[in-house]
Amino acid sequence: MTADSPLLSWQAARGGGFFVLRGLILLAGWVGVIPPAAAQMRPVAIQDATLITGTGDVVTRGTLVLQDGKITALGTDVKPPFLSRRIPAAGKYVTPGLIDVWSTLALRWEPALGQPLAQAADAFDRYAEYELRAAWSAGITAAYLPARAASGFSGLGAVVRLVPPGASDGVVAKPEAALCAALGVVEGEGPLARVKIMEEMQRRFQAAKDYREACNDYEDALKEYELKLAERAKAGTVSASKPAVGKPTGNKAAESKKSDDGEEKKDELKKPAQPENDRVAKALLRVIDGDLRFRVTAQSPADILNAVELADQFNLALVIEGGAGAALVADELARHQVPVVLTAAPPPMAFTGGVEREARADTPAALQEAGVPVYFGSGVLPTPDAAPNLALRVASAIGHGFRADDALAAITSRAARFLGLEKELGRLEPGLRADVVVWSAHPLSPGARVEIVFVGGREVYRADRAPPEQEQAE
Amino acid sequence: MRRHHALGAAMDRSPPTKARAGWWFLALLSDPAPVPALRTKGMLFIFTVAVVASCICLADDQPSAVIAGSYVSAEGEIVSKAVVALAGETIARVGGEVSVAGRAHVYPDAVISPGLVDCLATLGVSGDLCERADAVQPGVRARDVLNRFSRQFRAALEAGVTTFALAPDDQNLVGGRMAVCQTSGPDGRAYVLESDGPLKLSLAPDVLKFDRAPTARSAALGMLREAFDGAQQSSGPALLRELVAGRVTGFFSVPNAADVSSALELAEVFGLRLVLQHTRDAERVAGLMAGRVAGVVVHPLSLSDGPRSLAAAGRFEQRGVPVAIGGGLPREPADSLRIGAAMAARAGLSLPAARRAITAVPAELLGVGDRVGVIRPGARADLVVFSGDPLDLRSRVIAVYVAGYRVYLASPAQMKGVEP
Repeated sequence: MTADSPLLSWQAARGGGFFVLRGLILLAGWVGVIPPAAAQMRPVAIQDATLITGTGDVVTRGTLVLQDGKITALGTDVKPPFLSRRIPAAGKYVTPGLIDVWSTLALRWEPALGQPLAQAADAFDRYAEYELRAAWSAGITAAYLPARAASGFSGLGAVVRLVPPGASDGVVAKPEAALCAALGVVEGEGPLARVKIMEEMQRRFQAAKDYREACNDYEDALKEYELKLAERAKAGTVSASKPAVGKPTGNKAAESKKSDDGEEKKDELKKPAQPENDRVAKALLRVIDGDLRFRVTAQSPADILNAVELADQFNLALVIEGGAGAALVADELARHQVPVVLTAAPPPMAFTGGVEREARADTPAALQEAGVPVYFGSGVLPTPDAAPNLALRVASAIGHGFRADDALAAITSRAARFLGLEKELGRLEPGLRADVVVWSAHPLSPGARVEIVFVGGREVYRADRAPPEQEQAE
Repeated sequence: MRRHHALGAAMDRSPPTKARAGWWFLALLSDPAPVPALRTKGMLFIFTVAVVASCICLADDQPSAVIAGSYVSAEGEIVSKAVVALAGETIARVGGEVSVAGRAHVYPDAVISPGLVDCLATLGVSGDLCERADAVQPGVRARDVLNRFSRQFRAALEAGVTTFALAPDDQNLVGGRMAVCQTSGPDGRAYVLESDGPLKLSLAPDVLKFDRAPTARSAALGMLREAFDGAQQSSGPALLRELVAGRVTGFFSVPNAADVSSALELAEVFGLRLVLQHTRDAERVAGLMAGRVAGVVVHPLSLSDGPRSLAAAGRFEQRGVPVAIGGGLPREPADSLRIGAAMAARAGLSLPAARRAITAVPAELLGVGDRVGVIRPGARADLVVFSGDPLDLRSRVIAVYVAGYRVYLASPAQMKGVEP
């Protein structure tokens, strides 16, 4: 608009009223052909749609208003704001953007062993346009990306928002969402590998706890040292020589050294040695303290039980991922209230070996029945042509006994809460980010297609062809 | 129709199967120990009771009609009010206002679908379907490797698959003759419905991977031409002569767009009737295929497939090419056919075409369309009762009928959570 004001005043100055009129016409014309970028900034009102809020509520023939990247209003008696872009959506369904809680979407990640500090966020290719479009075409607007490895600690998982390439808003919602690890037999290694991995993880967690103790001891010793130093200064007995600096070992080592060195003067003060900065231990301590979830990829029941045992031992906030064989240990998982993120594809009919051999089509239902919190992830997506078709995955779970009332929440509001993003994602509610999907029919019904996707209030996807005629209303 | 409803309550209990009833009857005859002291009259009485009881049991699994809320019509539409009257192993009449005499099975609010047809299966294969010595194997017959005792059939049946084509794989230029089989007969055993199915052909890269001719694509096409040429000169195997005469359909695996155009050229030169197996480059070749092939088979779709694979079936439909979706059993999930159809329906395939893509179209392409894959008078009574639209992955299989016999009924535990 500002660009027009000089034009208008210039014309008004030159030609009086007639030119003002012409200027106004020009202005009106200009508004009519607002470039797309500016059009995106206009408020959007999706009208007369069935709004599935993600919490179980459904608003029929409701209007949803998106403004400044946020949902600002929804309801049956909401008036679209002035100059808003109106989208008539009678007969259509609107949901919050779906959240994929375990996906390798656009993840350029080389699995490596023993890298607890590698960040999956660094491996996300935000310019992978085809993959982003594929995700939008399935209604997905946010995803948790794991740091993957065949076994052992593998890094820090991240939550990303699927914004279009080059968008200015934050791609990474949470760079450090969880510490990832995997339990299971690595191909080519013997079954003893499982024991070794378990032992290694236990050792690392114990080492982290020891590290904390060493740090605490160091701090105590440092305080004591400073106190003594001050005392001496008061007494005026500080020798001219500098206080000796100990070697960077633990406090105990310093003490023992002191007692060994008989020749040293007993009253000579020694600065305690600071433990070497251990970033891995610090990350593991965050897991032990409950700041970071511990997400373990485990498919076979034995591995799942091992993970539960490990979590029990160190009091970790455990999440089981994959979970092909989770149904067999559902009671144990329920007792510890360990959430399970199911990523395994429906199992093939014929028996296949490998870690997913225990996979069953009714695993989601069995876990739900036992009282285990269940979430859905799209799993490892094959390249180059893949999409996280979460809505169908959930529909299929319902077909195998999963309770329908919990199904959509599991990929919207519950998923957001699970990722700690309930204040911005997962529901249709004023104040939340405008990540919204317009569907041609109920998202789980046959032939339902994603028609329009908004991410942060910006239209990022529109089905290229006209939707096929709906045969039956849901 | 009220009495039918009364009988529909029988859904809740597990029905006595024919085998079980028969066993009981035999046990009575062969083991007279419990009734040694009875007089002949008593024996006769027990015999009569046994016969009547087993007849009732049999009739319980062989209704004179199946009644449900709606059914999938020959056009693939869901039509409400379904009465499917049966005459032995075939369908006698279909409609909303058909009067039925005798016992009927009633499933309120359910949808009756034709039994699903997987045209890309390798169910119950005993041994290898590919002879690697020679790339041209018109003598191979898939029916020879069917293991009727495999346990896979039951799992497929319970997912609603009643018919499947056993096909030689993609590793030979001419793989052999496909067989059309049933996952179950009335006795619960699989059997061959049509041993003279289409001829399997392939231009897939797998053809070139062995230590034998052909090792190059050009040679592959050369060998095919030579074989067809010989057949046209009335020499060579009889099956190839039938193929070039257009009396036998060729199921041609052509993964690339280039393979499609080669296949179309062969079809034109030698007058072949072809069904193409193709997914990847649908947007480029759908127009080429229109009117020149009998149909196209899209490979099984998984829940992770992307927009390109999913859009293929819809593209073919838009160009008027009959499209079937493969199930790939048993290498894929038991639900594979429905998953594929549901996914294609989300990416541009119309709902009726999606329903036909896993029933009527594959049956027609396999040459058994007059018998299976469709609910119409005269067709075999292979029916699947779903709790909803077969394309809705939330729907479950309630019952399966093969040749008029109910061979599967879901237990109450399996139907938990489904609204009556």
